[in-house]
Amino acid sequence: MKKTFALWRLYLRNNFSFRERGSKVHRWLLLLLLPSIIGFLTLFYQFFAGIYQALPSHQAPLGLLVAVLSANAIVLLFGLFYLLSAFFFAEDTERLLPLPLRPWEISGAKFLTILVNEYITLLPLLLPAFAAWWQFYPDPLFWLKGVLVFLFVPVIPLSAAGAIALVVMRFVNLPKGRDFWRVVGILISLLIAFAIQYLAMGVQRGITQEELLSHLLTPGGLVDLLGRNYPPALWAVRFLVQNDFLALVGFVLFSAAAAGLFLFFGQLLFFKGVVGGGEVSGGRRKAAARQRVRSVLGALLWREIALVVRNPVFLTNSLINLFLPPVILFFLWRSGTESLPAQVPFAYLELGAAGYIASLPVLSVLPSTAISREGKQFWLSRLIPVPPKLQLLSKLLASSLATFLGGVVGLVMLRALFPIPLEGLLLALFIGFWGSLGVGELALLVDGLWPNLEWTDPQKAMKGNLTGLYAMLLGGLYLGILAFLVVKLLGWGVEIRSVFLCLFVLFSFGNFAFGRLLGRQAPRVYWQER
Amino acid sequence: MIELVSLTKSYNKGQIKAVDDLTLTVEPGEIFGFLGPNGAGKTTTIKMMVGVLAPDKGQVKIAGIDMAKNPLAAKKKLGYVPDNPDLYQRITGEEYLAFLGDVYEVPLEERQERIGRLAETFSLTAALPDPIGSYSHGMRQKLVVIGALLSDPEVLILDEPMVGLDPKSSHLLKEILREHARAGKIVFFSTHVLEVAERFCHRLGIINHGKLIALGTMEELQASYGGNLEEIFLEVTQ
Repeated sequence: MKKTFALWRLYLRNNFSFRERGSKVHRWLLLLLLPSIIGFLTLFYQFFAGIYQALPSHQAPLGLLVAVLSANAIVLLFGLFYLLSAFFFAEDTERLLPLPLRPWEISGAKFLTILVNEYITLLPLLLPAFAAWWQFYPDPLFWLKGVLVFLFVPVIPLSAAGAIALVVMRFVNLPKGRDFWRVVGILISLLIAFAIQYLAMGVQRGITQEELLSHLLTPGGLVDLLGRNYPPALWAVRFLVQNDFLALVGFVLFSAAAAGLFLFFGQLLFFKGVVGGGEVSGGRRKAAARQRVRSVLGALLWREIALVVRNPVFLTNSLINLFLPPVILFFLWRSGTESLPAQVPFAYLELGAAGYIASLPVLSVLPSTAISREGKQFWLSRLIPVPPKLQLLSKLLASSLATFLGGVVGLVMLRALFPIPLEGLLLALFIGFWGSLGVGELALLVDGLWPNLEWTDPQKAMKGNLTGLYAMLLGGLYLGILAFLVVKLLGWGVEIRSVFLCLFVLFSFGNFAFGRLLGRQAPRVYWQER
Repeated sequence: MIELVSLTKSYNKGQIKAVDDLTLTVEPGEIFGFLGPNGAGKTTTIKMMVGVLAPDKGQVKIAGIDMAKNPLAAKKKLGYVPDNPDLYQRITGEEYLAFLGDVYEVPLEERQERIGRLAETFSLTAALPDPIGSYSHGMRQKLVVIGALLSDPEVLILDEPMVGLDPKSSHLLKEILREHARAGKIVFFSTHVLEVAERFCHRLGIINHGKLIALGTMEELQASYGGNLEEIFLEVTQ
């Protein structure tokens, strides 16, 4: 255990050191974004306060349970990605293998580091939920209990995510086509995580109205109903609300058992999932004969696409960010409603779809991590005799291609739910895609000015990259202002097609302004000292 | 020609002078050896020469082109082999060379001829279709050298090029560099292997604490300091 903690300390120092270059800028950016963060916290607080206020006191813990279950879902899905990347794609793993460390010690240290990340992720969700509860049901010991629950909440889902990652990656560690199998492995892991999530939350399905009514009338009945498939969440809430120490013991023991099981899997499978597979395949061909000439822009575009498509972490992140939300929404909608409203205002849906497509560059984080993804290989981009503007253009084109594909998938899903006419879908695609260019430029600018090039774990260039968050918030602000204007225009009775026209004009201004700004900063992006 | 005029670079807000008022000219056809102890300023100088680092003061001219004023044209005249080449792990060697060929706009026939010849020389032909991630350090070094020579640059700059190469490859590299210089091009390289520098270079420069403290042919240095290169190096850098 001593070695695990030593390695963990090293990881923490490496991950959370504020001494690194550029941290001053990051601190200023964080300060600028503070109002948005406070806004989010307030929103969550009001949401939970609303639940506690609306429900009778015996059903009010439902809000806490929702928070804990949501926290579990977040940790299971996000944690899975972080663990997969840290275990199987981080460069440091190979350096740790020759050290006298046991498999569980390495996997344990990585697990603890990600656990700290998960605490940071969960804080904005659980803090407002707990604070609102404390306001309605004051209890002098509540915060002490809250801290205990907070510390243990991510342990079980993260252990489950770790076990899934270890088992699946052990069996897809094939020497031939290693990266392909790893992408398959990541997708299988994700499917398993979704299935677990579905089972944990899926108790309400198939329940009759009489049963629901009886649960509603029984004290704590709704809480029991929702927590039935995942008792640890129920125990955590019982401890928080009813001072049930037996529930705490159950919660802690279950968490410890889950962590122990994860460490056991780590000892058994970690090395087998990592070692080997670096061998090159046979069947070598004549190399020089395969050369063909591309234009400079073509070569840069090829590089952008190849670097994403061939890296399992980058690829799965992009695939999931781009294609999963509409697919999930489609299935949720399909399973949640028997009949859709007969008179759906299609024009509003088209408008919404256009907004969604315009926001895809920041959701996919492809442009907002485009420079960061080059990492230590960025020297080559600085060396080649290609104008910085052209290099940025290739990045914008590559991410726009992904946006286009994501937009098409989103519209296909929308069409499967609503019989929107084709011209409406094309209009949404055109306006949304046009708007996405400006958002992409903005995102690229953020990453260009403050890239994270010093990563060893590719996940740090994508999900763990602050530029993705900054771009999301800035892009959200830009699109939020435009959405506000659109709502105003609709409120003034402006005809919907004219609103589309206004949006086109506004997007054009945005594209021009951000494009100009990006062009001006391009030499700084490539030639400034880092 | 390479012209470095009063090149200066500091770190830590001017507290550490990595390169201090360095002036140097290297003529076409020359093989120039750039020597110095660890942390003397060799890599910083080279990074400024290839346009990866901007000098605080002074000027870099590559084949008569000012790196600060016209970086793209200057970079087109250059080939560069860094000391620790980080390359894209998931693209193959041939894709890497194709990418460089495209961005340096090397015609297909020239490209094929050079890649074929150099890869054969370095025994890398069979490995070119494999991902770079599977290469050894030496193979990566060879690939970067081939990439740097692909555009047949007027100025070839190499930072510790022999590190990681086996004796045969090291010998072959020296032959290739000699051939490059014989064609009227410049070879500028840094090394810690003094025997190589002594026998291989037309002229040598020794840098210490950012300052160029010795410059000349081997004979000129011997005339000034006496002894072999190792003794000269130890004397001037102590």
